Amino acid sequence: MAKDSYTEFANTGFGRRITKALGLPQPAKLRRYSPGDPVIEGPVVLVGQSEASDLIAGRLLDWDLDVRRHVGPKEKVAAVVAVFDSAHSPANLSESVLELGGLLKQLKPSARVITVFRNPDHTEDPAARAARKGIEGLTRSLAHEMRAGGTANGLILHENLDPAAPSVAGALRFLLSGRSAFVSGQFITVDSVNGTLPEDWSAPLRNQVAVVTGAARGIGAAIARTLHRDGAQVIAVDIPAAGEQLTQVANQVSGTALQVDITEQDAAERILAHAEQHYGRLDIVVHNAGITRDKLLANMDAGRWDSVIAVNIESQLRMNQVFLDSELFSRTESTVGPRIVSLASTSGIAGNRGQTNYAASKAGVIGMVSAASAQLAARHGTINAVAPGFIETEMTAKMPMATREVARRLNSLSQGGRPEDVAETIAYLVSPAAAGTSGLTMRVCGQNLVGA
Amino acid sequence: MTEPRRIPLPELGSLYRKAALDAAKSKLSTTGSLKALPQRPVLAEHPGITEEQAEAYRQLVHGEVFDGVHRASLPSVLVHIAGFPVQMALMSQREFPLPLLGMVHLSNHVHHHHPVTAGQPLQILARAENLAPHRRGTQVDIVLEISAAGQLLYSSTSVYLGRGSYLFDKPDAAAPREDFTPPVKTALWTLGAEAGRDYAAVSGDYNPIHLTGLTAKALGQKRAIVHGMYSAARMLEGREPEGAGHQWSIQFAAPVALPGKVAFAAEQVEEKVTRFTGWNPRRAKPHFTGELILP
Amino acid sequence: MAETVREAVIIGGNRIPFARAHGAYAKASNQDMLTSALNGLVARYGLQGQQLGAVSGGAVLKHSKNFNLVRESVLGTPLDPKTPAYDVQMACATGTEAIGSLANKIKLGQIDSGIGGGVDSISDAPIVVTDELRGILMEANRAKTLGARLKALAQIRPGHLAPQAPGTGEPRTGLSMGEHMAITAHQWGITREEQDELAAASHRNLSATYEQGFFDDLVTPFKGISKDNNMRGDSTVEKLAKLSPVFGKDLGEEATMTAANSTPLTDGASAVLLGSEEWADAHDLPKLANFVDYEQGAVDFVDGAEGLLMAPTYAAARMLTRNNLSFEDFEYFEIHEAFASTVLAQMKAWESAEFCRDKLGLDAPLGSIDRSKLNVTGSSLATGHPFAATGGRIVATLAKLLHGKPGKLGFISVCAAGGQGITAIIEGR
Repeated sequence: MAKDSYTEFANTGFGRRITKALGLPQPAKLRRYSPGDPVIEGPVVLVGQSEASDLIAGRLLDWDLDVRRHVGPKEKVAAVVAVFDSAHSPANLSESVLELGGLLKQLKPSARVITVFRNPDHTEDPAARAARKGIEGLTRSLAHEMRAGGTANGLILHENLDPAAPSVAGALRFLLSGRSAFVSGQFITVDSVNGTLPEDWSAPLRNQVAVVTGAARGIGAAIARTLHRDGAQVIAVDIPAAGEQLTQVANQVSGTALQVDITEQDAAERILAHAEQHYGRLDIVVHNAGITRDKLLANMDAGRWDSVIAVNIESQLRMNQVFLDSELFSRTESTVGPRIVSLASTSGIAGNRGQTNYAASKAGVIGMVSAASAQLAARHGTINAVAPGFIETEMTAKMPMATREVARRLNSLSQGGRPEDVAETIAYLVSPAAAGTSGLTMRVCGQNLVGA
Repeated sequence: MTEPRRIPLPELGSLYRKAALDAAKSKLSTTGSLKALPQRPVLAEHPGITEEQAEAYRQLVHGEVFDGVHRASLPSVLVHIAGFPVQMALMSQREFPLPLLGMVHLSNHVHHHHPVTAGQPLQILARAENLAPHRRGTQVDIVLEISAAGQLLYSSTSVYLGRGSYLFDKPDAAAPREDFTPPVKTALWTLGAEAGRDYAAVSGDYNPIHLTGLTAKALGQKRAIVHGMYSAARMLEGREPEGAGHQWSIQFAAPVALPGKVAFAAEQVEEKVTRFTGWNPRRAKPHFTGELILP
Repeated sequence: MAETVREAVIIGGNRIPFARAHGAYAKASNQDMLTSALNGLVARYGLQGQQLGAVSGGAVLKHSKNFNLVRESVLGTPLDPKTPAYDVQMACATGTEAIGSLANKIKLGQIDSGIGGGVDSISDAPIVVTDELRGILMEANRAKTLGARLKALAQIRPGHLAPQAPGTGEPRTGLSMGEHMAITAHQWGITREEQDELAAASHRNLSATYEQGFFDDLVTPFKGISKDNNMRGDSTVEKLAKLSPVFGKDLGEEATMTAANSTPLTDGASAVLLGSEEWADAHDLPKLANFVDYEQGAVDFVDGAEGLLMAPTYAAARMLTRNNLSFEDFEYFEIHEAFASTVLAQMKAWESAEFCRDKLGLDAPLGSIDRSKLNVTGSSLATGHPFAATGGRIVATLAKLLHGKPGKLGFISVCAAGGQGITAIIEGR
């Protein structure tokens, strides 16, 4: 991984003065989660009065958070949860929005702003939808305005969802915590009351068995480690040629290594057989394996196009079908069924020169995920995608220095993410506390300026 | 037979020095050599082969351990080593008709009647017999009889050639050489340049022809050659019976130049008879043939 | 075997790809390679933190500093450090002996689980100083005063400094294994053509087996190598026929053994996981095959009465008699290809009524082995042969071949230096 010397420099006393004086980006040291950390330290201010707001306050109090309706003018604030679920028209947003605005100058570093509102698409009333869409716009813009590692994200509830649904709590906790350090300007939708909250929030994946493809290095290895940290048993999968690194990862996470090329016709069967033999169950599939074969479309050849499509999307479609047809993966426990997360990419959202094949495959992942959510829903399961932005990996370390430096700063947090940031979002999405969220593509990009 | 002349156990170094001196003398007067062998055998008392010597020998041939219990009987070649200075003393007598230096060992026939053990005092008697013409000089049999407390333990006949010393008329041209077809090899000896020095250190036989290329050249060899009895030692290692009573022989053909490789074959030709062949694996020319007959 | 003992089950195996000596693994030590093979096995079967009954293995060429090679390797893995480990050595049969003896311990109930394997490196072979120099150094070491020490060291001569690498020569004969085999091959009338055919088949079979992904759960890459780099999938009898003999050259026109129908010097490591049925079940591990029985053999090769690598012929006769089995009862045969002629000479001996009667003491010859059942996934001529690692390769491969074929039997023959050898029977499940 390339060293981000600029961020290190900018976080020294001297560096802070210099970068400020020169008007340079001021990347902050992000608050990241480690086991045992509190959800968030400091007052959490609730803005907006509603039934949902009261339920949310109760939930936050259950977690021993310092929940406030008001704070003193000089008091530092760790997070603001602005609940807009009763907004019927853009005209009645004003009070809560300005209250929120008044708190922004009191935010601590790595603060959180979470807007909570009903799904705009679920109302046919133009004024109501306008109000809800308005909150989306407000949230995205606010994310750009956040400083010192702070983030702003939205929580979108299904029209009829009980705000006490486990997944509302799961999403709130994720967004408040250091797990969402590199997630900003994003929206988590909760559509169902499926899901359960963990007995132990430090091990939300206890008793769960997860397979991670492409686990030998980079983001895949981080996913394996994070799922293991959260209590899951991990089957680390990669191509046979990556077996030496795969062994290391599997041994680090006390998991099992399975060398299989996911483009093989029987890859899913081999994964299922391995899971059945060693664990007797399979709960979570993370499709992380992917390749790039960049070339301008004018120069594209069949080898580059076909291999990228085969690895990045075709294999997933084929494997998902086999997994869903299997009893091992499809069985449902109470309100939590099988969970799949696929790696998309910001290239798949915004496009990228030289990556028509890669972008096609990754946009394909986004399409697959939204279409397959219905299939999964029938089993109380979920399928989501995660689109990383600029992440500091071996792959990005190979970029030319100048390109890398620009790519790093080109987001609201002025820095690249870490593989762990992507892994945290995935670990959240596959947790039983996120069983109400499906069909979503979540970006882990620090609100990259590219593509939205 | 006449009464043996009793001599103290000779020291090989002084014998070689004397031999070199004699060689220089004989250059001055090549004529007038004696044509008769000394009639009197020589007899020396040997205090016994030490355990240290036995151990040095074992290390030389990478042989089995002499623990004095399970393996107490010393190998024949080590007994030969004990008797060798007496042979040399016999041959270096003024009245001996052939010069000691440049003497070539042609063969050895041994009857090892009874075990010889470490520390056992030995009487070593050597006598010369059968002075005879050879196409390259004159050959002589040196007989060794080694006894302890009056019992004959070991007797051998070593045939030596005084090369270039024609005490008789030159015999007719040699019999046509038989074609040598090597048998299937059972071993390959890889002998380093130090093989001669190593055997010398154990046997005391510091004949310069075995030591270095330079000293060998002085004696008419292109390179140092290994002691003939070293080949015998390797040939017999691990094959001699603990209770003795065996006979063996070795006939030397071309010497083994050092460093070098010797292809070796041990073939059991009868129940109690093993035939040995050593040859140059590159040129398929024989170095020696041998035989072991078990009792 | 008696009815009272329990089964020893082969759960799976792992090896690093075998690499030609002085190449990809030139800088890897025996301990590096064995640790890597063990790590891969631990990862494949999720054995992190587990205390196993024993880990047994060895290396044929070993540094003195590696006196506790297997234990040191175990300490470098995520296995519970309370797992005992010990070194064994039986030349090229080291791995097979390690596995066989662990199987016996499991059968007797002494242990419930174990890993057997081996490693060898030609590239990292111990270089030894001459005996003279060693003697001087030891003397200097023992010296009590500086003067005595210097006096001892003053004996060192330039010639002493030439290092001595271990050879593959037999200590008692000075002949290399290849030279010994050339004699045996000639005695048995093994032709150049049949040796080249066997070698080409070995490469072909190994290459095809890799293509099928068969080794995906048997081999873990090491140092950037993911397949045995001696393998030549395009090997043909015609190509091999062009090579000159390298062994038995004194046979002249009748020399048959080339670099291609002899195994190259190779670096590599392997490990096989064994357990009782109960242990495998309790740990949710697969049961590929049972390790049924094994037998050691040795021949008196020193004066050429027997071929150096023919000991498995004797072991097989005793083992088959004891188990009341014949060659027809076996589904697969794994005969270690030390040399193509080794396999062919052993098979010819088993076919020979005279040899089976006079030497093996059998009423009838053991008979011929169906070539379509022989070394079907390739053997040492293609994979290479890191001496002590070969047993683990063969046992794991054969166990996987027999998995899903309950009751079907596999036969193993591994020859070894010193006129030794091992044969074994495993049974699919």
